[in-house]
Order: sequence, then C-alpha cells, then structure tokens
Amino acid sequence: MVSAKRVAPKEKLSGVKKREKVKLNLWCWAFMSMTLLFYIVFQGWPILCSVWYSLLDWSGMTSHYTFVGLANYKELLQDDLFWNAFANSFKYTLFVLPLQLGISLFLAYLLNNEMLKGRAIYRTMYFIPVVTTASIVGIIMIFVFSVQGPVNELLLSLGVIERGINFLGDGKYAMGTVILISVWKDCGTYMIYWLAGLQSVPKDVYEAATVDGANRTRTFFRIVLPLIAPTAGVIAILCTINSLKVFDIVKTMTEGGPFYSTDVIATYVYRSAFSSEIGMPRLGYASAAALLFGATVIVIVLVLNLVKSVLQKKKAV
Amino acid sequence: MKKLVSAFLACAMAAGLLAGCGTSNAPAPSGTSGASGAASGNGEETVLRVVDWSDSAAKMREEFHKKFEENHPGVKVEYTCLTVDQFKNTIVTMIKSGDGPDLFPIPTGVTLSTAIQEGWYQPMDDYLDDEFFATFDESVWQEGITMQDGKIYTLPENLPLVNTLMYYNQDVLDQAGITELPTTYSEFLDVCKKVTEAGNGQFYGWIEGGKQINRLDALVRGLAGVAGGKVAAPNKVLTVDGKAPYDCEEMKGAMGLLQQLVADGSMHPDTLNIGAPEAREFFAQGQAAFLSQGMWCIPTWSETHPDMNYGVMSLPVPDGVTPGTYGIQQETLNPWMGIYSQSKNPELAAEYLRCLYSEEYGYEAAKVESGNSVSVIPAMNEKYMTNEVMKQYFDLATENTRYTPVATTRDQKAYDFYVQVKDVSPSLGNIAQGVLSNSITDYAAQLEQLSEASTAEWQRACEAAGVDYGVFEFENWDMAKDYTESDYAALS
Repeated sequence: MVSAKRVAPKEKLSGVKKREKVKLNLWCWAFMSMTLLFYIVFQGWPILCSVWYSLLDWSGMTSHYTFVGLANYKELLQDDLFWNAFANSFKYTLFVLPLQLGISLFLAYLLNNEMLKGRAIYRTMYFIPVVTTASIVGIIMIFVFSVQGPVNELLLSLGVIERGINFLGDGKYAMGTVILISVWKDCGTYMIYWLAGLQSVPKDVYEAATVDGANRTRTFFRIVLPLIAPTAGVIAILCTINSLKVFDIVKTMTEGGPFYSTDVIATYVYRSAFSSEIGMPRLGYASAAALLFGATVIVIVLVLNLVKSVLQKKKAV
Repeated sequence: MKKLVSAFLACAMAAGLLAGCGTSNAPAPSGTSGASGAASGNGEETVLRVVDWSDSAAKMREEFHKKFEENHPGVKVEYTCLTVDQFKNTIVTMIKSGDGPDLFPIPTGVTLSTAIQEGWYQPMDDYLDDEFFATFDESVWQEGITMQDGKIYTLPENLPLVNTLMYYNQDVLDQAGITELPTTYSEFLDVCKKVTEAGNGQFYGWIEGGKQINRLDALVRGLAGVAGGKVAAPNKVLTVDGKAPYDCEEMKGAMGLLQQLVADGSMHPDTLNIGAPEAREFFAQGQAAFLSQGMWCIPTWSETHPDMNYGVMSLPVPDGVTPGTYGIQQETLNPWMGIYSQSKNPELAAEYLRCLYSEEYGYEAAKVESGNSVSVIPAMNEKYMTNEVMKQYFDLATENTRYTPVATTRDQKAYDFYVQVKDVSPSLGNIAQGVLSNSITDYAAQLEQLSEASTAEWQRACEAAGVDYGVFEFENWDMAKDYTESDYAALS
C-alpha cells in the first residue's frame, strides 16, 4: 500500500524566500482589503448586529429596548405565520429551481448554435426582463394577469376557461402565478450563465461527436451536459439562494397575500420589522426570524452535503 | 522601491477608508444638524429640509414652496415626500446619525411622549406666538398629541374625519336602473347583484383596494360601528367586558356581508389585486357602483374625472337596525409636524409652519378647496369649503360618526401601553382579506381566535407598561351617542 502522506520539503525556506512569501502575502491582503472591508462593513457587521437585535424586545424606532434572551426564537417556533412563510419560501424555491434551470438551459443551448440567425437579438430579448425593475414588472403583471387582463382574455377566447381566473387574488393560483412570473423575469440571467458554460465546451468535442454519428440531442445529453455539470452546480446554488431570499416581486405583486398565500420569509421579516397596526414594529423579532430561517437553510445544506458525501463514498465502494 | 510605495499607498487607502467609516459612525456633536446643509450667512443659501408623507397634497406643497422661496430670498426648501413605510425606515436612521431634517412628522405608531423622550423635537412655543396658535381649532391642543407639559411640540395636518364612507357612481346605478340608494345589508347586496348582472362583466357592484389591509380594517370596523358594535377606531384599543371585542355579532355581520358580496359575484374581480388608488381609478372609470374610501378621493377625481357623476352615502347597516342609530368610530387627532431638536434653523422652520397654515400662502386653502382634507384652521373651512361633494362628505361624516371613548384621554399612562403592545395576526384586515379571497370560510372562528389572542396580548402589554387594564373598559359607552367629557367624568 502506498502512503498518501505528503512528503515535507527537506530543506527549510531560505530567508530570501521567506521575505518573498511575506511580500506576496501582503500584496494579496492589500488587494483583498477593499472587498474584505466592504464585506465586514456591509455584511458581517449587520449580521452581528442582527444576532444582538434578535435577543432584544426592540422596535428599532427608539433607543429603549429590553434584553429577552431567546424569547423571540421561542415565540417564532409557535408562530404559525412564520412557518407558513417558511414553507412558502421552500415551495417557491422547489418549483422555481427546476423550471428556471431547465428553461434557461434549453434557451442557452438553442442560442449557442452559431447557425442560428439573429441570436444576439434573441439573447437581448430574453435578457430584457432581467434588467427591468421588479416593481415595474410587478405592476405590469398585475394588469396582465388581472381577471380582465390579456391572459384571461386569451384563455377565454380559446375556450380553455369559461370564467376569468383571479390569478393573483385567489389563494389557489397566486403562488403559481408568482412562480411563473419570477421564472420569466430571471430566466435571462441563468441563460447567460449557461451560455458561458456551453461556450467553454471545445468545438472539437462537438466535431468528434458528429463524426461518431451522434445527433444533437445525444450530443447534448451524453457529452455536453457532463462537461458543463460543474457550471450547473454553481447555477443551481445561485438560483436556490436567490429563490430563498425572494422579496421584490412578491412585495410588488401580492404583498404576501391574499391571506398569506404568497407570504415568504422576506416579506414576513419586512412586515415584522417595519409595519405595525396598533403598537410599534418589532425589529428584534424580525431579526430572529431572519436568523432562524438562515440557520435552518445552513443546516439543511449541511445535511444534504453529508448525504451527498455518504452516497459518493458508497458509490466509490 | 516603486512596489513599496504602491503597497504603502494601498495600505494608506485602506486605512483611510477605515478611518472614514469610524468617523461616520461616531455620534454627531450636539448642536450640529447637517439638517440645514448649507449654512446661512455670507450670502450663502440656507437650506431648510422637510420630510413627510403627504403625497396627496404634493402638488399644492410644490406651489407653496415656490412662493415661500420667493418671499424668503436666500432660502431653499429641500422637500422629500416618502411613503409612510419608507418614512418610518428612514427617519430613525437620519436622526441617529444627527442628520435629521429641520421639520418632520411623528412616524405612525410612535407617541409624542416617546418622541420627546428620544430627543427628536423641541417646543415651538419659543418661535411661534399665541396669535398663530389661536387660529387653530381648539380641539387640536391635546396633551400627548400636540402638547406635553403645557408646551406645544407638534401641529396636526388636518382635522380627523372618518375615512370610510360609501361613494356611489350615479351613472353606473342609472345604467342598472337603480333609483334608490341602499341603506341596509340586504338592500346593498341586492343593488350590487343587480348592478353586476346589468354590467355583464363591464361593471360590478362594489370595489375596494383589497391588497391594502388597512383599508379592509377600516371598512369592517366602520361596518361594525354603524351596526352598533363596540369596536375601537383603527389603531386604537378598547375592551368590552374585559375582552377584545373583535368577535362581537356586529363584526361577524360585517364579515358576513363581505362573504355574501363575494358569493354573489358582486365584488369587482380585481379587488384583491389592487390598492386603494387603483380602486379609486376603476370606480371613476365606471367599473363599479360602490367604493368605500375617504375624502382624499375627491381632489383626485376633480382633476382626473371632473365630469364624473357621483355622490357619497353612509355605510349600510344590518337589516333590523335603523340607519343613523349608531355611527362610525370618529378618528382621533394625530400629531404631525414638529421641529427637530438639533435643527440649525428653528426660527426658519417655525416661519415655514407659520406660512404653511396661513391664508396668504394658500396651502391650507387649496387643500380645503380641492376637497383634500378638513383644515385645522376653522376660518379656512368656512371660507374655502366650496366643493359640493366635499360638503356632502363632511356633513355626512359629521352626522354618521360617533366619538368613542379614548383610553389616553382617561389616563395618559395608556400611552405607555401603546409602546409595549404588539400586533396580533391575522388581524381584522387580514381576516377580511381572507374572506374576500375565499381563504377563510369560518370567519367566526377566526374572529374568536383574534379576540382571545388580542385580549391576552393587551393584558400582557398592560402588565409590562404598568397600566391598569381596566383603563380600556368604558361601562357607560353607547355607540348610539357621542362619548363626551361628562361621560369621562361619570366614570368611577
């Protein structure tokens, strides 16, 4: 059996080499310093603040607060509306992820074809919704999907439905409609990612496949897809993260309604932190909700990673 | 050497940025406002910063600012109009960083005592004279709202007026052959059904901005009020027999009315997809016969649909209740604009307020004339309330509202309760939305749950604030008549 241990260099680094290494490290830190600084100021510090806030009974409006320990977390565990928003966030992600990845990959593969005329125009066309502000998309889509809007008109004229559907005002359809619009809006982003992945596949691979008699579908599933699998992983992670933190499109279109049917964690947190009917808003409670959700997502990802590594080990055996 | 210099510069830049951050986080020295940007003197422009959420009067305010700047050379008004939520999020950060505007209103949910305790405002008595204050309606000088310890800290924006009456579109009613306005639930349902049938998809019985929970909350409270239900006005707390009265029969009746409107198909199908402004526009376009909103609709319609044939009526009452027996809960006066405690130009801020409420500058007059609101200056209302629908609204509102008891009038300690209390969800507005979207069928059970949860929360908040829970209970409260000072005096 061959030992896997790395053999340490027998000779110690000379003083010159050490200085070179220190210099190199300093340069690295110098270049990283800006990013690191911005991360600490705009991400790290607010996260730490949130941890502290989550332990307080605090409105965020005044300087008066009470330390309540884990009371906010205890209350959250018994809050049905928190768990409703929690479940809705995952429901949204579960549907958006495959749809988003599948459709954007399909579009990217079509538009990666050099033979396709006007592909730059198509790419631009699919990317336009991405650069359109979510609030504008939301306002337009409320009209498009309204009971007297074009979608219902079309379905009625085709005889698909007998009465107009209240896509956003009926709890049964609201989440589905929001998902559909989100997929349409963000598809362009993932299409660009996929295109980058597809363009990294060498041309001679396609040529070799053609020579071997593989058709376009076979080439895609047997050759291209395995080659771009690492890109797929990254895209899936990005899509999951973006879906779990969805806010703007929901806020603009439904505000989490009707009757909480599209309420996701971000709208729940926003409402708790900034809105109130009788008393003050609850920034401490909202911070606890955000952290609890974040922690749960981290735990889920860790468990999935563990399962994945166990499965990979079994496969290797 | 060059490399070393570059490395040094990079480090220096990073350190500079760190130092910069440090400085910005440091508390602002007292007395510096940043509020007034450019300082006065030496011919420089003095900037007066004003932030609020008065979007419905934005155009009139623009006009006012032009005139104010013309008459005050060297003064520039920097006005920012935000939404209520945006204002809430922004103002605290501005104040904490010592960069508060010279003039700003109290965010909703914050009491005057809390705002003063936080050091947000300074008394305006030193800068404005008694002659100015004497022009206001006497009812605005209330401890805890505009005053504390005898000193005036804020001025109200307008007189409170009930914000939910029923507008009707006469043209739509005519098209449906309706000749008599409905007064009871069954008449209202019947008329809405007939209108919807006649509309055949073109127009419907009733519309509201169902996406806005606050609108639905105001509507069901109003419906319960005119039915005789002892429910407090929006954002206020009152108990009946020691309980939150949300599960009273009158409230169940109001929810039942909404449910029936949906079942009959009489509700405009887009009601749940839209907010109050869109509902107002759809109503004006003739897409619905009835709309339940407030006076703010009138100036918008005067501008966008000047020929619209419409009127205003009271909310319907349950069958068996004589219309006019009970009333909608009168809104309470809200504090509005105050002078920032760290303002560099408090005299100029006070001058701005003096001009804002004066006849000469025309802002108050324009608001009343256009039907935007009822002024806190009685003389303005007498002279400029010329809009017919506004007069009709004002008379109807006065006739149809009842003054309900107010816990903070009985005991100012109750303000501490409002600092402690937390919202209970689903609220009345949420439940109404659930009913309209068919997400809730058993609204009675939901109301009972809300009532129980609210009672528990209010008791907890009282305990935490050291307030006697009984302060919210008024045994001599009768929704058929106004709750007056003698009623307060008669309390044991």
